[in-house]
Amino acid sequence: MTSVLRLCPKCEAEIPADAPEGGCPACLLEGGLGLFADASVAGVDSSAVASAKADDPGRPASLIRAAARFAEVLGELGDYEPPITPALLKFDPIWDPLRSDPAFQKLCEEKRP
Amino acid sequence: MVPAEDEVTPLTEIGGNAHHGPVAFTTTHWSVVLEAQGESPAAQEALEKLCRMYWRPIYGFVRRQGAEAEDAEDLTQGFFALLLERKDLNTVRKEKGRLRSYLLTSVKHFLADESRHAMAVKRGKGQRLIPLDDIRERERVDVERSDRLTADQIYERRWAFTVLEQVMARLRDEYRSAGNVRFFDQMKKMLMDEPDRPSQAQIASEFDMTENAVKQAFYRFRQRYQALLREEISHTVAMPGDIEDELRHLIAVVRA
Repeated sequence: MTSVLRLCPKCEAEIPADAPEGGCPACLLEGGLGLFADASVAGVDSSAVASAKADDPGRPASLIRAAARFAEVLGELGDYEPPITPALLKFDPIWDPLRSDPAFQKLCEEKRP
Repeated sequence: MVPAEDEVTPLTEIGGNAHHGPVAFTTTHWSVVLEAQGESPAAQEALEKLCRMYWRPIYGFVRRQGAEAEDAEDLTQGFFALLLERKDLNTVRKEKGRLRSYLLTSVKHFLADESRHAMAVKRGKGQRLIPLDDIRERERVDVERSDRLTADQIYERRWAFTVLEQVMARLRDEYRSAGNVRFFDQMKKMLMDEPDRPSQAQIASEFDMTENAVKQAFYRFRQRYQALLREEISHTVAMPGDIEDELRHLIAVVRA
């Protein structure tokens, strides 16, 4: 049987024909876990996210900086874009190589809401 | 006030809420099965429930190994029938007590054993643990025979999709029970964040709510989704410490 290729309009990944809810499973899961901050969905003013990106005190900028440093260390995450949430740090498998690092654990612990 | 997105509660802290109560890990299906080694009625019931829930990854694996649809149905039925009869769960310990790993290892052993294979086909024809209609309906769009995925990848992907489906089905049931299916549909669209999703203002207008109320409703919706996801995963692992690993695995599989 020939299947029709469907692409997620958000992340442009291929949507499998048997995907739950007929949508992009990655976007469903990431949206459910809140892995990526999305101003429009969260009801957060977009300027707040922009200011976080611009290193505004009190926002997750320090987390973003720390994550960016980890990314530099890994040397393979050059196209990884903020904003990065505590949930993302905690559950994204991309951080698995660092998970046993006490500094990384401390960072996650500090940023727990 | 709705917490900002970067302040979302970690899953480790989500144990339920005032309406639904905490997730009681000690009573999860898989831990009950392991504790009793399949000997007690409760363990048998729990194992049956898990088998009914997670037959699709097994069926997909069997199909990918080359079995035709009808044979795959019989083999899947037979595999679960033998699993339930055998009550031999000792190998589970080697699989770190995770149902996902246990079933995959078991089905590989099962398919490699010709005598067991034949017995299972025979047994599968007579025993219908999984409703055939369900299999046929779900497999109507059979895209995976010619897919580029390996049998293991199909198993893992279907496992992940099954977990996501269970979570969303339970969430939908909760909203349906409260007579809020239409609202659920809108919240789901927000969760998936597709470009054509309605705006908060549109939802507020449709349901005669304020936008702030929509934000709060969505926050609760997402919290509940996370709690159900964690609960669903907890049903398939033996140790609470495995939940987060399984969750990470789920994310990795879904993104692959």
